[in-house]
Amino acid sequence: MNYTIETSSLTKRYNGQLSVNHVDLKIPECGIYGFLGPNGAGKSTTMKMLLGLVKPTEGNVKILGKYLTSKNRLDILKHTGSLIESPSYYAHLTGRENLNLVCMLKQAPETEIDRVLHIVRLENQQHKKVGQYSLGMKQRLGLASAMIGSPRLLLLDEPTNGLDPAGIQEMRDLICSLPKKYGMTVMLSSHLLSEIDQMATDVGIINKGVLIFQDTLASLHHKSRRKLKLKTTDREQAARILSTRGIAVTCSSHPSYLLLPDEGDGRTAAAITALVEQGIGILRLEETDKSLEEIFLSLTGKKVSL
Amino acid sequence: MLFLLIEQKKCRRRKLWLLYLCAFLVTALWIFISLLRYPFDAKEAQVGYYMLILNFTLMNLIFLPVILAACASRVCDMETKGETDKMLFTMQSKSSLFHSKVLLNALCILLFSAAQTGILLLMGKLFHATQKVPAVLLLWFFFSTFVVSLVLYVIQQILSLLMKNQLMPLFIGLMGTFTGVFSAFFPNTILPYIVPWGYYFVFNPVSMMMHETTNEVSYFTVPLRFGWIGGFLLFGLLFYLIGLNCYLKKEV
Repeated sequence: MNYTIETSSLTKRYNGQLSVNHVDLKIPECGIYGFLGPNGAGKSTTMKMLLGLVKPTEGNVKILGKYLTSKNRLDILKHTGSLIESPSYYAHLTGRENLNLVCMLKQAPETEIDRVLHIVRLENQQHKKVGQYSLGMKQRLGLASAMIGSPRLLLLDEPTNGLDPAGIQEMRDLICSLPKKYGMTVMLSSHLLSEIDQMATDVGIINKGVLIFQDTLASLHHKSRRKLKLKTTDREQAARILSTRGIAVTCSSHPSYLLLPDEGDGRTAAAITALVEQGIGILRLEETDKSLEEIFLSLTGKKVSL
Repeated sequence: MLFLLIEQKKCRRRKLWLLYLCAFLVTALWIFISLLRYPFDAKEAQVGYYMLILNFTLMNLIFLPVILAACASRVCDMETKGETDKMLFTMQSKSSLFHSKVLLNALCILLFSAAQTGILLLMGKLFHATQKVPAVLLLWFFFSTFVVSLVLYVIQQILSLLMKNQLMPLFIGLMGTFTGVFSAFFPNTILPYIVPWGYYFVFNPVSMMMHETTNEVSYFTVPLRFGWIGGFLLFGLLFYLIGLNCYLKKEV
């Protein structure tokens, strides 16, 4: 598999404290890599190291097949676009003038401005000073700046921050369309599990500077064993019966449901038969996926506020 | 050249030129109006250019350090406010940003110095200075205004880039002006030589003396203290190198 970004043992230490701890990222080409972690986990520092904005204490970064050094950094970054933490802008200039500066810096043709303005739907506000933009508009302008020159790699640090629900949905649709439409690889960080779940194809989970999981989103979901949600006419009685048969039953957060491990159709059929034989009515049986919060919990062993 | 053009585009609506124009107008009008009220008499006309050089030098000593601090703050503040570092440094080097800002302001200072030298010459003609135009002194005035202003600008830009709160470099510039002006009251002490903001005065080749008995003022040239001037340039160079290094090391 081709990787757009590869890091080996990437480490950053601030005043002796490890902020990023020997992280080995592998970001596949033409996908959306969700970089997930709670606040302060080291996501932004890692992304800044990928862009050479922060010097790693240890380790190296390979982007688009080339090792990032202080000499070739700008040459490599010509093929990237980024939006780190909050959008960067000149408040006294209009949106178009801001994009024009980026065009000049990237030595991209001016026609790019109209293209990216169209993508982020800012055509009607392009002649307004950015200081008068709403946070959502600034965020979209930041994304437009990042997309100038059709970069092969986009690094977006919490791109939906400050957007309203409609804006979040718009941004999600836009990000999801980038790999297919423009052949871009997107690295996207977020502390919101649901966001990564809806956009990413691959996931990396970082906690306290340590990369605790990295694989496809499907594999992350697979890692979480499915459960069965069972609704009966008598929950307590049903729980007792199943427990005596050696089935580890837990009570769902919903008052009338029981949670059963999915141990195959045979075992499920046997459990249901046992309940019916004891006169317990089966009202509903559903499959349920472990939430990403639960997955995170099982990976870190600790509950985190996400 | 590209980065200079980008810097110039960034300064659109920041009215950087207006600050330099204000400095030029205030210094020129101040001297112009005082000459309108008290024109040269025959004796003063014989040293008219000396008087003008000394007056313009003193005006620069009072106004320029604050103006330069404001200019530096204006061009650096837009980067701090818009948090543009993390975007810019993926497309250009820190050093190119630093130097393009210096270059843009150096051009403005060059124009300012040339305009001030020009208006000085014009005022000499307008107010009928009978003294022969001291071309070398005028060139020195132009050179010294440019060099001292450039060094002071670089100091202010470094402070503005390293400090997030722009009030601090402005305050330093303002205090520098006070100490610079204050130091000029003690020309025979070491004070004017140890305050960078007072170097307009140190570079000045013209001096004056009031005769206690007759109350007459005489203007004359003084030998330049090249040792101190060299020391000032060395200080500027060191401040630039250390400041630039600190800025390059500063992480985004």
